[in-house]
Amino acid sequence: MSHHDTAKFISFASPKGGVGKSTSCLAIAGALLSAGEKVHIIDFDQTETIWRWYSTSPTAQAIPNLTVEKGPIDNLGNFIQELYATATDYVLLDLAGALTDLTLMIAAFATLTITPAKVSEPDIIEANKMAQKLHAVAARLGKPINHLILLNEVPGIISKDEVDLIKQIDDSNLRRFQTLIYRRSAYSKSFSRGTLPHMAEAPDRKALKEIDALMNEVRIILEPEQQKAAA
Amino acid sequence: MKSTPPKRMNLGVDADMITKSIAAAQEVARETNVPTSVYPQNKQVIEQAPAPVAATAVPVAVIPAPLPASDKKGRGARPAPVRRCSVDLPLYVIHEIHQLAFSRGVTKKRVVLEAFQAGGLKVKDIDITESGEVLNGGADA
Ligand SMILES: Nc1ncnc2c1ncn2[C@@H]1O[C@H](COP(=O)(O)OP(=O)(O)O)[C@@H](O)[C@H]1O
Ligand SMILES: [Mg+2]
Repeated sequence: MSHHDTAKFISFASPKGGVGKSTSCLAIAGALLSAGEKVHIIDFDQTETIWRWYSTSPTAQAIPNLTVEKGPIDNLGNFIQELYATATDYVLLDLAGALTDLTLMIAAFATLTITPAKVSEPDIIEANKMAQKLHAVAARLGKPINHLILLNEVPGIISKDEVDLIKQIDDSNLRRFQTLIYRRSAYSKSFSRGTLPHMAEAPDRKALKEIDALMNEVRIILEPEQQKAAA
Repeated sequence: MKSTPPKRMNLGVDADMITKSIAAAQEVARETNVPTSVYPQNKQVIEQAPAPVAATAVPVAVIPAPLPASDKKGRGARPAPVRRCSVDLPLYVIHEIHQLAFSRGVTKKRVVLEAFQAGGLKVKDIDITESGEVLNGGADA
């Protein structure tokens, strides 16, 4: 039995690598799992960050209600159709750091696409490129695409330039999560230890708090669809 | 290949929407030169040649894009060394630089250098193209 009528698909996509796609994917997975949801992660990245995290860690494999698989090499259309037909609860799609047709296809179909970015000009420019392509797809499709930037690895002390850059984002038509994900060892550690921030032996309260705040925003974005589905 | 329509389809998004989403994404990718992702069948292949492409005109990117093997950096023109330089500008000009950089998806440095060049200052093209735009292949129109 699933909690929802339709599964929720959240994709993690950015033209750049190393911005925190896999990290935020795992953080969100942990939050969902600890809220009693079932989570299926599909790792589309050839570097197999999450697949390795899972397949080499007995701790990760023992996490209840979590399954991980590698994405397909081709026939993406069929894969998505099949996935949409059979998936339940939450499906998290972790993509490679590249802007390709695959990225657009996944984002076009996902319920929500998250593009992590550091508070730095090059990262925001890349996130902006992604947003513009998705605008084009949405216009073609005649349906809005949920695409939000997640500011990640925010340093403890934000400089004036960084504050300005955040202001610039807010002045533009880019959407972003209000929650900032700070640079914390809790995120990098959970990776190397085959666990999740929410399931660490000594959880970092501040990290959990910001992930939960992010999850509240995610739920609000996903909710309207849920209501439509119930009607 | 037709899969049987699952019952969940009549709730929320219809099956047709998936097909349409994929088609729209592919169209935009084709029209705006977004590369096709080709996953090499096995990793040894990466360093040799890109995987064969199906009959499409779309540029192909192997993910991750293979680094040019020991490209001789010494050859050809190189960007000049840079140094940070601050000048006091009217706030609205700073704002305009921000906005222009943002809407074009390029760095502020690029916007400024192009304006200098257009204003008659000697600025080499290589120093402009090294200013951080189009990091992924320069395919954008
Ligand atoms: N908020 C954060 N705090 C600390 N380290 C982070 C954070 N986000 C990402 N990292 C680290 O940065 C590196 C790249 O992150 P990753 O999620 O693998 O990026 P991507 O999936 O976008 O390539 C990893 O080593 C990860 O541990
Ligand atoms: Mg990754």
